Amino acid sequence: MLLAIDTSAGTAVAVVDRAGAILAERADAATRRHVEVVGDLLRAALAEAGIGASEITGVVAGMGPGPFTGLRVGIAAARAFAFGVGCPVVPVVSHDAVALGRAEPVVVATDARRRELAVSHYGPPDAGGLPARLAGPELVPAGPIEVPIGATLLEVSEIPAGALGALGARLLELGRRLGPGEPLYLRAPDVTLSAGPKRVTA
Amino acid sequence: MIELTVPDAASMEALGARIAPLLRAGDVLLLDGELGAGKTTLTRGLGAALGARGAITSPTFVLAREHPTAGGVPLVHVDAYRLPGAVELDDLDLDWAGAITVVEWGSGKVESLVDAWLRVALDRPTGVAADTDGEEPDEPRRVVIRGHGARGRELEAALRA
Amino acid sequence: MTAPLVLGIETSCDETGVGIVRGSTLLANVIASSMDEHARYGGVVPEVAARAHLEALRPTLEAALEQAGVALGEVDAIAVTSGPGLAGALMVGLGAAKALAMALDRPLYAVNHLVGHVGVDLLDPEPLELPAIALLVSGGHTSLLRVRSLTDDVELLGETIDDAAGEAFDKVARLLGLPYPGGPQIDRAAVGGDPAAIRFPRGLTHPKDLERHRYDFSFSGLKTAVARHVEAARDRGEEVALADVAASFREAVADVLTAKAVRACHELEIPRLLLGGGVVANARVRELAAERAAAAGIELRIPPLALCTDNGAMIAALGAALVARGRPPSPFDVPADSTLPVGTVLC
Repeated sequence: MLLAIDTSAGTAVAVVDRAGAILAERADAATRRHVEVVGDLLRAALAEAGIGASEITGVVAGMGPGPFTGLRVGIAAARAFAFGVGCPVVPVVSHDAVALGRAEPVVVATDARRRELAVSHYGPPDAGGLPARLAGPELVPAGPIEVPIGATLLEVSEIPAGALGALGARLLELGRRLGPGEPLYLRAPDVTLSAGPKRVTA
Repeated sequence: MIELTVPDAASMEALGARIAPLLRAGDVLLLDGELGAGKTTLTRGLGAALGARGAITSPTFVLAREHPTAGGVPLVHVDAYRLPGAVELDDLDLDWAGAITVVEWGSGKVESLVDAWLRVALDRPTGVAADTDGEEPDEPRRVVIRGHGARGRELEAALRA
Repeated sequence: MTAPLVLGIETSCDETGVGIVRGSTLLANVIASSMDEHARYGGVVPEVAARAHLEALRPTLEAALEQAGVALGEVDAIAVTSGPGLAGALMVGLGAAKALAMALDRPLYAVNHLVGHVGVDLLDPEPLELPAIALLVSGGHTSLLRVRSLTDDVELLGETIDDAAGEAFDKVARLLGLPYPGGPQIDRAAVGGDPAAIRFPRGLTHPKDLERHRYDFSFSGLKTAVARHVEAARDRGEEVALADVAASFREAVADVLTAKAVRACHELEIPRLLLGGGVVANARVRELAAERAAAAGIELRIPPLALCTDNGAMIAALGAALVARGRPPSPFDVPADSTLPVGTVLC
């Protein structure tokens, strides 16, 4: 059983089985209340799926892109939950969840604040049925988005956690890794972090 | 443009209290002035009039502090001194639309992030060898208020009335 | 029944802290600091701090469990700082704590950071008798508290009405051309200086101020006075007497902090004083507090430095006290609250 958490837009939580079937899906569209709602959504999703936390064998984390403050809440929650039950984190690019299951090329766009959009371009799915990201995610000024002929524009305000979970299940099944280990802030140059990890002292 | 002389700290708080009832969610107040010019003092008066929870103290260390208020619209108090520019200010991920935002040292940073603001410039006398014998210096400040953008001009006009 | 095993998470500022206590016994206190990354910005940058928390949390948790020699499954409750502090930084710890509590099916205690600074004294083999006065001084806070019960009755007597003391150190250091963080820099610059060379103002100590601000602090006027002193010297073409200015400034801060704390002990007839917060690292503050407490017959308690600065152990200790008192845990929708009042011990 997998748990999926995404806070790159609103807050979305889902429980899916190993085959990717969605057992429970909960969401709250508010874009500045992630830390308030994430706990109750987790509890509600687990209850609806009728399982205990210990039955979760993987946590799928939406790694963004998304506004930093909220995005981090979901990643922190996903990592902590996985640490708590002793299971792996499956990082997934949040846009990939939107593209999952589309047969045609798509362009996924989400709000990045600062009058910008985060955009990813996808071709038709790959042989494994997984989204094939050709470009992005990257930031573009808000406004009309260039969409290649034959592609569908998917401008969304919510990331479906069920699809995120299903994608994670598929990745685990194929033994593949699609997502980045670190959050997709996309604006890293603003504050350049030191390359090394922080010192941990007793 | 409004020009005033504010004689002391209490009057600076009173000026903040006068501005407070004019403000609503989405309004931005930009405070300029040297160290000790009275920016936090003005904000304190404004916060008190809004019924802000918690002490309005300098946010230099934390950069931004959110105070819930009696009216429901939070007061966000920002100190942009340490921020090099608009991009870093935007990194604070402030909810400009949902709050009354006061930005100290915000000139040259806020303007590209919001459409309208009320700028309050505070001037204290500098360099005078003050008698600081245990007493806090409390001299008059020169204050210049100017609204920018439609809403900023509206606030300036309301303040003049 | 053994005392509860509580894991505490602290992410209110630039230190990622995880502490583990069993009842009032400290088992682990691990801190990962992003301080070095903030130095070149002249102070803490919330976005830098929050990013660092996210990356440091798991290694810090692992290190704390190892240090305590316990397994995660043995933990009885999760305690976490929900405020006051940097909102984005608090959210990382709180989001993680909620998920951890859910994963382990354990109660969550979202607690007050400032009360945590007081609660750390519970880890002392002989905790200070209550009621006690507590003086908390750090980069973001300067507060004087009356503590009758750590879990139920913490009263704010006063706090800074403008700058926190640590912030005053940072700002004055900047005025004097010294780098961040200001505290240790001022300490160094003050060596050999005359603390009585310049009589800088002691904020809110005059009789007229005492009516309204008996136990409040103000460091803005002091900061302005230093600025004016420096400007005046430069206008006259004189060199600023760095050591004297630094020593005199530091003396003014230490004087007003300790004077107000001792005054509270005296007036409220509580001869017990606890110091906490990063500024307690300042030798002159400690020295003057010790001197004045001794003279006034006040029992003074200064926790070890690792427990004075922000840490997870103090949050765990406070959490354990709340568990022991049978207080109900926090609701799961508890928010991060950057200006959480000190009277709210448990959210």
